[in-house]
Amino acid sequence: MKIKVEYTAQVKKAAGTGAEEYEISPGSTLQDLVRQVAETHSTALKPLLFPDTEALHPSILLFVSNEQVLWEEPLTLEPHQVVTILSPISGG
Amino acid sequence: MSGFAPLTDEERAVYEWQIWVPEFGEAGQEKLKNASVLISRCGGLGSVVAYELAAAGIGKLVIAHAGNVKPSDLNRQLLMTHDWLGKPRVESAERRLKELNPRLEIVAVPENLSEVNAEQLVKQVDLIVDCAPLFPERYAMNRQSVLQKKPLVECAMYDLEAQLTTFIPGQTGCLACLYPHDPPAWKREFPVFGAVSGTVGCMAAMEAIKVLSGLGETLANQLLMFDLRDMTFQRNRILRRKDCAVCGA
Repeated sequence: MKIKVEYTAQVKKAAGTGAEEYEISPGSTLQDLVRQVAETHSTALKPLLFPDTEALHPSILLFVSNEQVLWEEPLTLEPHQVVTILSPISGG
Repeated sequence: MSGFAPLTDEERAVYEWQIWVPEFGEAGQEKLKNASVLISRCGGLGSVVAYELAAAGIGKLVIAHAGNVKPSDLNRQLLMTHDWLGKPRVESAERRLKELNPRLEIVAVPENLSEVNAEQLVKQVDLIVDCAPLFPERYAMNRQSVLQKKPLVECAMYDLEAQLTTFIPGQTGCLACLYPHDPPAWKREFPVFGAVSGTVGCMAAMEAIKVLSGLGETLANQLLMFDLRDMTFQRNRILRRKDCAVCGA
């Protein structure tokens, strides 16, 4: 099934696009998809998402259809959902 | 501020158009007059937040910002002017705010908020607007927001994008729930237009007005994200972390 992934701020810059579609197997989790995204953009985006470990960096936020989902709580994706990967920004 | 000051005839005349706003009225205007707000850094975001709150008739602003006006401030820091280059930013900000609203009480602090001064700065106000560029400064503000139970409006920008939310102690999570760790990739200097900081600054000022007056619905438990490059706006529900080191039970 196809899932749309949207990027914001520095994640968008690293991915080189604001949004793209991924083909995933039924039963895949959000966490599987984010790992797939990181591997697809292994040079620029992976170091932002997974700088040290197998776990997503805690400052990166995930949303599925406008609801925040924590990395440590696996979520099975459903068709037509939109995933947003957000990197924090600040003032100035 | 001691006691509750009613509106004067002059204030009724100045704020007439917003007093007409349903559910705000003269009672809402009186709440603003008797309210105080801390704005940490009056740069691209904070300048606009401060200017809008001054225009709206807030009673007192505490503005904290170190350093002198630089040429690179002038594309977005609307309280800074050419003739003030090389001179303290808070002086320029105070001067411009007083031109707009001579009734406004201003405490101008020529230093940035830190763990050292956060408690004292937050103690002076009813609400905080975080316009700071660095996460340690934002975390210090957030801790005092939680400890002193003061609402915190959070605004941020990058390129043509912006984010905005409002934390209300006891009703929402806090900045440390949203970002438990300092983002390693974040840099103090980044690409942005003044029209982007101005847009989110106006929205942050409106959040402050709503929290203080009880008007409308705030962004409590919601993160507004928008991108002016393609004019997309999204409201996302955000979570409170039960294990949060700052606000968790």
